Amino acid sequence: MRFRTQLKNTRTFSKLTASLSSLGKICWMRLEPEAVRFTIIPDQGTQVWSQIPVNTIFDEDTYELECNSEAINIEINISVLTRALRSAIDASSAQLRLTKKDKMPLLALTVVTTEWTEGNMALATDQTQPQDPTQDETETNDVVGDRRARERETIITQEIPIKILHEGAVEGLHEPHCPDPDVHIFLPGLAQLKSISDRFTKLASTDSKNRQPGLIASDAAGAADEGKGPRAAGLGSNAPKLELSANMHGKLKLAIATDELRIASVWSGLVNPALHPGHITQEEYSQLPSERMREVGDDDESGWAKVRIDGKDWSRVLSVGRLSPKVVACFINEMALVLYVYLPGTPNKDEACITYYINSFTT
Amino acid sequence: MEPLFTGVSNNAHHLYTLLSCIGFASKATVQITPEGLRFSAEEGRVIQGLAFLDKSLFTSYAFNAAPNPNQQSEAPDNEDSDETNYPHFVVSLAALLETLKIFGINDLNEPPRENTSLPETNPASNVFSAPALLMDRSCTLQYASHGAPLSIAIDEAGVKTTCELVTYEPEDDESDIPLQRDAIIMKIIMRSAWLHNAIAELDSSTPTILKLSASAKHTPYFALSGAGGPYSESTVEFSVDQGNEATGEGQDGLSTQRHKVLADDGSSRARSTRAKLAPTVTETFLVTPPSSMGERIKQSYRFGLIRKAARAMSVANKVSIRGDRQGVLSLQFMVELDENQNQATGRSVGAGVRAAGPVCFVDFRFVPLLDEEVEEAEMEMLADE
Amino acid sequence: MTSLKLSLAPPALVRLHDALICLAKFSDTVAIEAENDLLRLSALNSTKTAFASFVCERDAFFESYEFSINRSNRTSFQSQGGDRFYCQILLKALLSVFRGRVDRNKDTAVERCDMELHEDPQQTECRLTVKMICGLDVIKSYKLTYEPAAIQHAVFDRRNATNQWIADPRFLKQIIEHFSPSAEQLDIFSDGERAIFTSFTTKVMEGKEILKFPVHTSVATDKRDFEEFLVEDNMHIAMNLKDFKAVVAHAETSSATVTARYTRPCKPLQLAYGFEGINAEFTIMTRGESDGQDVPPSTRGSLPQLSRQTPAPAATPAPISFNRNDSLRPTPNSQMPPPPLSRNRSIRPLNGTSTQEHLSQRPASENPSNLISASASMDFDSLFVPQDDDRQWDEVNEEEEPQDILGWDATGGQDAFEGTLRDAEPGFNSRTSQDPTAQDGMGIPPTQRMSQVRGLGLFD
Repeated sequence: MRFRTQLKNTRTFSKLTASLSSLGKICWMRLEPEAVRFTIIPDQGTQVWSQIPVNTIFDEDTYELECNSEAINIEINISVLTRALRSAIDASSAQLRLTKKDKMPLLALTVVTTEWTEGNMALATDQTQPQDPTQDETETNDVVGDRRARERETIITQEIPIKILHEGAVEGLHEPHCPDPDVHIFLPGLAQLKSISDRFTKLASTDSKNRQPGLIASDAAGAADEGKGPRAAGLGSNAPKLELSANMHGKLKLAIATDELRIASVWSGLVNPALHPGHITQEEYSQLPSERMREVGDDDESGWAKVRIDGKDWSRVLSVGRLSPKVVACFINEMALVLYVYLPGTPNKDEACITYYINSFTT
Repeated sequence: MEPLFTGVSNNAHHLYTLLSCIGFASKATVQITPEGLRFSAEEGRVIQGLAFLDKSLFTSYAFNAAPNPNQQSEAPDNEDSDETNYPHFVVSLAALLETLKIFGINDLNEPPRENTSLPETNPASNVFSAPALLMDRSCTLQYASHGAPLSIAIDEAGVKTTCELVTYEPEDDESDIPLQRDAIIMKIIMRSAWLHNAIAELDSSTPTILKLSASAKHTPYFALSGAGGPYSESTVEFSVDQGNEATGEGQDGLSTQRHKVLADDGSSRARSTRAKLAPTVTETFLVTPPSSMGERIKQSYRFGLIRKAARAMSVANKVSIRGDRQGVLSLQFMVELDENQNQATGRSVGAGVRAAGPVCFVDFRFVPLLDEEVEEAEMEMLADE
Repeated sequence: MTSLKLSLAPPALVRLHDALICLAKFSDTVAIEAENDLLRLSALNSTKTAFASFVCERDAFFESYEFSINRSNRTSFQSQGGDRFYCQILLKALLSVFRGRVDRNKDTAVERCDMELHEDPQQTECRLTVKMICGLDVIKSYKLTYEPAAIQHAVFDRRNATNQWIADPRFLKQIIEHFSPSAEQLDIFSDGERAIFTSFTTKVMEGKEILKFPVHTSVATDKRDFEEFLVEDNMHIAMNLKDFKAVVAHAETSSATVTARYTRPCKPLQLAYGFEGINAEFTIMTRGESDGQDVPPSTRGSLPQLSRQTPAPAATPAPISFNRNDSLRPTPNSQMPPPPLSRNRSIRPLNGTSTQEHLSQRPASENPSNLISASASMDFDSLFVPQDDDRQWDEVNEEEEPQDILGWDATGGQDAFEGTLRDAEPGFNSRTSQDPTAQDGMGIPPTQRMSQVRGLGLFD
């Protein structure tokens, strides 16, 4: 069994793993000759299955994979990987390989960097603004000019403990199968969607717990909570449920209702993409549920497909916005929401795609 | 049927700024008047905050007060009962504030990015990067009829958000904390920043009691202390400029000269040595304790309550600190709203409003701690330890 | 009657705050020692494995400094103390006074800080008064209670240090950045042209929880990145990473370079630097194989306990100098201001197996017999009490990264990096969250004109 590769696009890689790690810690990483798959199946909440072509994050020329079966299956703590990948950002070279130490399998990340100056890594915050997760890349890029490259090298090794899974152990894991969607639509900018969703969730939860008195106190506490609070909270049945619905006329609606209020945001002018015409006939195509929904008038309630989702879980899903992807949301009315998240800048033929499976709660 | 009230603002920031000042309570009582919206929040009848959204804050303000014949016939010629005719209800202030925050949410979150591959799907999502188009946003408040929800509609950048807040009947016994306007014994006007700074300073030692001390004659002229904290006792004293003080006491050459001049008048000399001394930071400093109090006003308030006005202190430009004979403390904040937000939209807020931006007021009133309560509060602190 | 009066200019106030922040990472209390020409602030951690000290020089650091001690009424008890005054104060209390003083209202910014302390044996209350003289005649004053204290110093003999390196703290910070936030120990060794810093965790893991095993990170730097690197090759020396981080975080606020001096494992290591009238010294106990043999980092499960060093027959004198303040204070303890002194003099050793009396950090000071027993035990036990690993590690919540407690992230912005989009409170601009005043727990936003409230604002 052998796996070794040079990394490329380490920023994308680390943002990818960071997005995944918001949904769960344990990640099944499957190394195949052409693609790397990352799968997270938490006990509850959203499942995520992703397929990343090797050349999106690895340097194909150096990619070595040898194993008895068709792939190497690894179980890894994805947040640990995310943390380790920080060392690789802006490095002159970064290698990832499978190794063993004291009989314990490891994923070893070896990074060579020649840049040791202010402005490297988090030190950049001296001059620039503290890193907003959505902005840190651009800012770090800004300080590139200040760096003085030099010949001295620093070599950083991160050894991440992993489990090797046998093919048999993963045979039973299958990507969920969903019926054809009733509505499919491009989501608006995820940052905006996330802001509004988060505000709705907050509205619903402030309502239920009767907002702490004292504006300053609650503001400070709120900020701290969101930063540190365990993410386990909130998946219970009492957690606020957002209603997300869309139609085939470019409209998306986000709503929540409590005893004290009803609030809804409606986006219009969004695009309902055409599905892969692929291997179905014109007639079959017109029989797709979404095509039938398209026939329903814009203002007709029956043309909308709706799901009820957990506000906090949804917020974690939307954290994938840091990758600035294109996202197609597929609504299966009252049943599930499937998000296809396409990374930008990947070759069209085999796009890197992250798929989120979100179950709808019943009322 | 025409709604009872409709107000349109193209700058929900202003509404938010004012309402957030009284955001310490989760609910507020709203009264719609021809002049504006009066929001009042209180807690335990010991603190009350009042924010008035003047109609000038709205680009259009339509209030169709349906005169209630019954009440009018009964009403004596009294301003107060007249006001009770106006629509009057309770809403969730917390929810209202959260909703208003949605206004302008894009400005924060969507820095223009070249690598966003999404925009073509939503032409509107790029609009806010062009300032000229920022006027494409509005915030509409509406109260259709008695018992209807208060609705807030925010329209901007391709998203339309509508929030309907359930309205509740106000409790019958709701009344303002009384400030005896004819028995004001202290009136101090200063920049709100100084007060905020002082409260923040005291707050760092987590006191339970705020002690206010003011005297027109003796130092400290105006001091705020935090007591009951676990670590230290802290005091912020607003003292008198050294030079001024010297003048008052006639100790340096310059003032001596002046005294001579004044002494020609004969009687004015005595008065001049008692020249009113005021702390440097104050604009107005009137302290006239009744003889029963001696020369110094001393009152104590629960620090936790005063802290609730911190947001108002930080936002306001000036504060008028008043106290009546009973010790009720009134903090009246003058908030000069920033016009910049509106300049971006290319509109002005309303006729007759100064170019500097509208000036609004937020009031707070506090019930003082009685002497026994001060001791109790100190005991509580010890018990907590 | 002892009296201490001093004044600080605003820049020194910032320095003082930085030092207090650093000391708070070692202990809850700071020991203050006044001498004629210096003021020392120090803290010893609870396991007595790290000692932090900041010496502020009279002429370089203070605007004015007056210290007088009148020993006429109790000369007999001052033999150890000399012309010094000691006390200790809760760091939380001091930090509530010396907050990061970035006063946005320039008009009322602090112009000078006066501190005054008078100790009169006739008075029961020990008070330190602090006055901030601000612009526009605003005067902020504080009264803090302090306690008499026995001051302990870790003594480090620089002449015996055989290994030394000097580095820019920013460089050290960049090394630390690579370590996992939950890493507990730091191993340093020299290998040819490279200086290698390795983080590891001694936590015993259960076999099946492989994914919870700590990440092992090593950073191999080029020795030329150090100003100086004179270290015995292949000698591993290990210490608490948390302590090292605390030092580097503070050193970063100075413009100085950090000098590390040490002899061999299981002997103290000292990190020192000086700047602007402050001399900072951190004496930290190290671990490792005391015979100096190379230990592959992977087998470091069998680290010697610190206690092993003490019984060595020819052990160097315990690295401590012990000073006692007004040992026979006439006032009974019961009248002391809070917090009350611990009356339990028999401090159990951390490993819980010995009943032998150990040196209390805060021995009851009025009892002469206690003085003797404390001194006696001191000769036997080193400053650095044995440390029971298991127990210490148990307290560490895995989810809760120790850096959070330390406030390390405040400077590094690690959270900001790791924070997902989800973490960003949409209402607040990121500038606010890093604002030092936003972190002091006080929670009141700074006063500004509306036009300046943008960073805070919801509608920027």
